Amino acid sequence: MRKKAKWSLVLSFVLALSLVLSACGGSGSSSSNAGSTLAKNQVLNLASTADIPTLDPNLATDTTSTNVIDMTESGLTRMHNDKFAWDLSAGAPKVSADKKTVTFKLRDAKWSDGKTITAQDFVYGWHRQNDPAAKPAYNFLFAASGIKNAAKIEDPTNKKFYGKYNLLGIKALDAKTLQVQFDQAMPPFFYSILSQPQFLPLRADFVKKQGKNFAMGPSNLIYSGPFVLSSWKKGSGWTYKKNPNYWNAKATKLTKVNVQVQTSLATRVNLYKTGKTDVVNLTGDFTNSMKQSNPKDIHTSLNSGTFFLYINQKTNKNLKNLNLRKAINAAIDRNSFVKVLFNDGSLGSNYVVPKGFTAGPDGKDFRGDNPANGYPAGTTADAKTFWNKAKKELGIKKLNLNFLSSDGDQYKQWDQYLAGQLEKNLPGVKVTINQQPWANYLKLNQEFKFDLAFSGWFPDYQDPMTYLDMWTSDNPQNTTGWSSKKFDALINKAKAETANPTKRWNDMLSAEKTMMADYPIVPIYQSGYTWAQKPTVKNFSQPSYGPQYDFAQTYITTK
Amino acid sequence: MGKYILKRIFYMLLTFYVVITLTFLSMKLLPGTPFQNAQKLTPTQLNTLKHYYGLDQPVIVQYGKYIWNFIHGDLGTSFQFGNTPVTSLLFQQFPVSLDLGIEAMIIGTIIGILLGIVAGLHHGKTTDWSAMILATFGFSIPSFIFAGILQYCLGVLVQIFPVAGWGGPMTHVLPVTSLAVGVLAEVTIFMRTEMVEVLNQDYIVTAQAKGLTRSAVVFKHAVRNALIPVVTILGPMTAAIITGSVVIEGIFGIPGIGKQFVSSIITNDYPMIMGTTELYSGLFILTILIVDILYGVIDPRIRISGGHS
Repeated sequence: MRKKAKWSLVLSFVLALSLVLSACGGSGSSSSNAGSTLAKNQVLNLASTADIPTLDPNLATDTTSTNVIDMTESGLTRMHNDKFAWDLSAGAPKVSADKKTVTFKLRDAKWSDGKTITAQDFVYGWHRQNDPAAKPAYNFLFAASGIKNAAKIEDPTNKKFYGKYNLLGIKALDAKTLQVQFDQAMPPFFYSILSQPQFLPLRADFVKKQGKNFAMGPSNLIYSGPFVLSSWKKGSGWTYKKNPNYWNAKATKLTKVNVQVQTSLATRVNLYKTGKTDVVNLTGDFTNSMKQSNPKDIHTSLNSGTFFLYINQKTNKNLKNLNLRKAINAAIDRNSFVKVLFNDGSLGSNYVVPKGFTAGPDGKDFRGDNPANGYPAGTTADAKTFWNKAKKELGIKKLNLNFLSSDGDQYKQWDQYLAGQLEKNLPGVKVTINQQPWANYLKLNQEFKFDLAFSGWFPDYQDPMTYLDMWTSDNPQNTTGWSSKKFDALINKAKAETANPTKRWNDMLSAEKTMMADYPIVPIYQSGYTWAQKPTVKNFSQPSYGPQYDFAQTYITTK
Repeated sequence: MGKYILKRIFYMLLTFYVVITLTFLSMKLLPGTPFQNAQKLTPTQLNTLKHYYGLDQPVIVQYGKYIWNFIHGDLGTSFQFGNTPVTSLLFQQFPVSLDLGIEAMIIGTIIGILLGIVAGLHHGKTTDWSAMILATFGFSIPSFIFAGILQYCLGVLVQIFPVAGWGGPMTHVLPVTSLAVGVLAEVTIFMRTEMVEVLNQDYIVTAQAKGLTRSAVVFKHAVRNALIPVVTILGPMTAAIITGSVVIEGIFGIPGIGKQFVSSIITNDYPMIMGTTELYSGLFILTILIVDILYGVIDPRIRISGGHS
């Protein structure tokens, strides 16, 4: 829904690239496959749909900023093809028996100015994320991870703790040893969240010296990642160069990455066609035409965005009726929706937690343990049956539904398609579409001024909980009015069970089942993406969690 | 003349102040917050952020602060671009839009005036009709369609010009042409109509009767008089071209200010909305002032009546 949501363009690309990866390993030049050799010129050219909003990890909330930070800075871990790898942490940390204390050893790594990266740099970076004066926008990830005192430090009503970042559960035992403490056992997604911009190290002396200018331009930053930002011209684009000081610099094959800002899709496609860029993401008609003109360049994958309709049963008493909600659910043909309107790898869905996003302690995907293709929504005939039952129970013959959505040309098409199916399959239902600018959409949604509302969700951390806990009774994001004691209890149990991953996983599986039996929302689809990529570009990915475009280990071959 | 200009400047500043005030107050009526991840935040988290940025204060206090800072040359920092000062964003991006707009205006106006003169002189003949057909096309085809066609034909099919970008002279050709076509068409139509009318005036007949050469009649008497109404439309047109090149900037990836204006409204980037509005309205008011003064230079009658009104 949000066009620039934090994870809005993230893709899972495991299938194709895991093969390439396993064939190539981490070392480079000798690992070329199918007889192609490494090109002399290791330069990648990309086009971005947006300029970089910010390079300050405290302020970054969007995909573009997050991507630049991910490519130029390092955390304790780094995401690659949906799996974390130890980055600045020298291997797995020491975990205490109660899993409440985790001690990391840092490897010998340097900032781009040659100084050593120390445990104190991590402490400063994490403290700054919890310092209200530094205006952190996404620091709730610390509380979500259960880091000691984070929830209290971020709560303005907690007079004793609010803003006192010194009380956060992070400590530098010495220059190379970092200790993190938790309120309860460390959650299973902790290692992957450490790759996020919020958990990076920062150098206190540098940030203080830069003052207001910190992160304003390439020279107002120091880098710890595979690349440094060598130029950034606002509105035009930016350039990365290989960071020779990165500890794993030998794995970086690209010497330069040029990114130009191009907001028009047609222009981005034309740039790709004329060889000015090496990758282009496609939507709509461009997908079909490019599939015909350059079939070998096309890559398709699922990402972790889920799209659904909120059903407001708080202020619309008709929608409290289970049969009516079932009827609405069955009336929508999701598969034709994605096929007709997207045809880009998006998947019609009737589930809450997306496919290919997380594996449990058993190593199986969440969607392998719970129904893989979601819960049966029913056919159009079922829809009519449910609708007739609902009419009888409610004593109504007709029903008007206000369908709220964000504005924009593409939404118009989507909304009309969905409204059309509801009106066609549920005779007597009339749907009024109400398109609003995003900010107003949110306001109306939170004030329950809708019957159905089209929305989307992107994950904050790599765990099913990021999709589930928003549906508990007291969660502000649950704007359906649906409340289930059983569901709430399962979520609370799962949250408290971080020490027992298997029990926690099973509780989350049950929670999804409980929720879907009640039809509080209408899941519509899980988004997918299609892009064209020059055949000479290898090991480039768009994973479902982590950097939007991961080119940390990309290389160019001669053919 | 001096009094006339001073009076104009006073009205100009007054208009500017009213624009700032109205924009500020109506902007505060926009629902929502400037925080892009608002969907992810609880009401408490949102309120905390609002407090950091002083957005929890009464509108009148925020307005007072804004005006105070404005007088001191501080337009605040942008929300979309992590605390970057609005003035630095405007200074970086506005010159690009200005460059693009002025190039298009100069080319469009010069060719338009010439075409208009030629068409007017050959009223009712083939030359006239051809020019008018050309102008009608240019007038009715939106610049972004023209831009798309140019980009595809001359950028992709025949790769003469770069598809997009803003740097050397070659990168200017397609965007400037796309933008100039509309100007050219409008100026041609206007100029031709005026020429036809002026050429039928008695003083032209008199001039011809005096035995003046054809070129003297055309350039000294006809063109000069026909230009007055054209100058009238040039002012607002320049402002419209400079501020209205959003789509062309988008298509050719030009780092101008146009897209900023639109995106700042969508994202509730308050300081940026104010900054761009001030820039645009300032520009508009200024061009109107210049046109008013130019009038006086071209046509003394306006100067005199303007001074008395």
